[in-house]
Amino acid sequence: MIKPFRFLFLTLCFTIAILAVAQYVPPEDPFAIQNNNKLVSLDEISLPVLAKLKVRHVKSQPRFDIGLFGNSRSLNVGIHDLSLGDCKFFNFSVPSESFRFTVANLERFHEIGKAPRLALISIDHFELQHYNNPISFFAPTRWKMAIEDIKSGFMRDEIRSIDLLRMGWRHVWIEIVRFKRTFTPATFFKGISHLLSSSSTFSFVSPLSIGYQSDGSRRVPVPANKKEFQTLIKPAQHQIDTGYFKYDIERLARLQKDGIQVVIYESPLEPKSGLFFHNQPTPQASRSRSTFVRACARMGLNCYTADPRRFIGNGGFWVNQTHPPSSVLGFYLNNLLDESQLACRR
Amino acid sequence: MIFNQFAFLVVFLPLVLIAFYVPQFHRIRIHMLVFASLIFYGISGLEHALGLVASIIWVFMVARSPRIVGNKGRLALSILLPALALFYYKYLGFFVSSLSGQEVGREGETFNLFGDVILPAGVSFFTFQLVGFSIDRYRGSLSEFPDFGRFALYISFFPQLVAGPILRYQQVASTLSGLTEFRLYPEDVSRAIGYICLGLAAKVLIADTLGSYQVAYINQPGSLSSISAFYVVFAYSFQIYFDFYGYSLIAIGLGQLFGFKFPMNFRLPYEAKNPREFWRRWHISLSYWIRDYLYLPLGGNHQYARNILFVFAVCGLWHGAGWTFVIWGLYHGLLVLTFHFGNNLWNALPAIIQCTLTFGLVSLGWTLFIFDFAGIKAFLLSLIGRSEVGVPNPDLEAWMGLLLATVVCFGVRFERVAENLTGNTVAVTVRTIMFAILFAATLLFLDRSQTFIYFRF
Repeated sequence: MIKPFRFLFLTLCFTIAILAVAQYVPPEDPFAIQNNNKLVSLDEISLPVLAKLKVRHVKSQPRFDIGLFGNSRSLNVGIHDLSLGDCKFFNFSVPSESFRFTVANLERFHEIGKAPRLALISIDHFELQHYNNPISFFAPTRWKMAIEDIKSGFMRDEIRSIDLLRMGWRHVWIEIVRFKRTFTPATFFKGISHLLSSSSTFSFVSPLSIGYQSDGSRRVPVPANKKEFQTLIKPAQHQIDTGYFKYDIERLARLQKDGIQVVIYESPLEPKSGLFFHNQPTPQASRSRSTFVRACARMGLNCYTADPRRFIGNGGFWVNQTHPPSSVLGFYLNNLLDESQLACRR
Repeated sequence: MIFNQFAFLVVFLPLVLIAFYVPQFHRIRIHMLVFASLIFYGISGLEHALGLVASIIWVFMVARSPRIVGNKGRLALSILLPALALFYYKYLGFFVSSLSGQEVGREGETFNLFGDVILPAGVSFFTFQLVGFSIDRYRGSLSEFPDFGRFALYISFFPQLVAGPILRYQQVASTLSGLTEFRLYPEDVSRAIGYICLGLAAKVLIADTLGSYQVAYINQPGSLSSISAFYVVFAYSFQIYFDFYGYSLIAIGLGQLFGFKFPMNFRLPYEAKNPREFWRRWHISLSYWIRDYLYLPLGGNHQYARNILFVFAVCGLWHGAGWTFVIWGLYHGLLVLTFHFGNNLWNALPAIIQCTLTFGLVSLGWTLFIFDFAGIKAFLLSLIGRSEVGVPNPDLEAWMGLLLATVVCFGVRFERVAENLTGNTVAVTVRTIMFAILFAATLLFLDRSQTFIYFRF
């Protein structure tokens, strides 16, 4: 006769084993591989594993001068798009993540002494209200962050009870999402293939394909035709919890006090949508933007809102209305870097 | 909600089990299960749950009166509302389109006369149960008339609500009477684990995998090689079997957890030696329902050929509102008649040939479930090599999937595996590990799992 608790325990063990395989991080460092400008294919890899590979690479390197933090909207910016002088650059961006991930990620690097001297941080355009808890962190880091969030929710006056409840639910939700994204046949079989592969785990792709460069950025081939967007983006409903948003900005201010120069910029929209929402922002975007500007000013951080006039006429291919071309973003970031007075750029 | 969903396995089922076994709730177990069943059903559409509730109340109110016994008018009144609901949701589109000659959506699931009508899951199953109850009451064959709670639970109990087995009240009457005192024994839990794990594995790991291999072929029936068409015939045959059989095993396992012992709905149907035997092994509860409530009242064997063709046409129509389903039913009727009139010849064949022939003919028939008439014509041309091939043949993985399904279908006795072992510690440990692996693997593939095929019937 089968004993139910034994069955449940074994099921749990097998489930954990599957999760462990699915999250297996290959020992090889794909960002350390240099092969005549070829790109490394990481497309089938899960995002937590990609994030982990980036962390491991940064740990193994001397401290970077400039780091770009964000998600897919900043991921494509590489050393070719920036005027870096002698500065060492790494793109820390991980697709799908939002501002909360960046803050926690930068804190982690600071704890181990590997935070870049200047952190360029992309925050999604406020019309998108992209505001998630980190998905890419592995379990202990996620849970530690959840505890910190709950603790600060009780201790800080500007965090309302409803926001605290929402934050609690966000953490539960992210655990469910995380499980569903990781516990899939594709990630499991990818993990198996990494585990069993005897030679190099990562393959190279031609420069005409999508692949990662050694600076952590992703290169996406540019189609020949420019796209004219006829419609505007659909603004998102209110998502950003003001109290926690201020708390996150304060965390960055703390890092700046510890010697990391922090520059935050609002990621631009494609010019047509950008201009429209610049002139007629939604109430939720206005509220979030003014919180952002006021909090930054109060804490002495360099923060820049997305002014579409800065991005008009720069060309580049917008794959969609929210992902700026790397050339456009690179040009803009160079302007921000000019104001930063980094010694290595002179 | 469906069994192969995380929400069901990880949230709904544990919560209902906890509520069922909390000592304070013992006295309201029946009401609690009715409530849970309505949530289970209503979560995908409140309108459908309300329709179910209305049918339950209607039949209960009409059938409660002792005057229904022997009174055909009251019997007709009793089945009027569920029959009308079934007609409205399932057959009105088919009826209108057949009269007007206009096209409706495939399987007659939607039509646009009064706006889009979406077929409630399992409507044919619970309607047949309601009708069967009314007829039993009319015949005076019910030993007791249940109170409303028991009756509502008999119709709506979530493990068998949407895809059977189609139960007679007598089969669950004693369980319903003793439900408040029911105690769960370790043997029941052990058996339930076995049935649920095997059922989920049959559905998610075998049926859905086979389904994923056939998508390209089903979309282009006129561009297949003979080999691909041959593959579809047998892959779909195994897919529908493991899909429905898997559901039935899960239903049995879930029933065990709440004290219900559901009858087996399948008895190795693909090992039947002739078409008649096939129908004694496939969807047994439907076959017996049709026999007892349709075939015998029609006169049974007295007008054998006419009655067989009629009941099989009805059986086809029960499966779906479309002429392909009617043809499928008549096809099976003809198979049964062919066997009946030529059984000397049939029985002279070696047993293995009889089984293979039956399996082949049944499998060929399932293609009427997949395609419309144009699709069937194109598919049959592909089968005999008369079409221009545009889709590559199944790859090795697809053939391995079919081979695995064949081995499991003919080589594994699920009921025996699910039954309890006593004494042999090593065998019990091996089985526990096997079930745990199967369950974890099922959870892994749950995200790509499809709705049960029989839900739409």
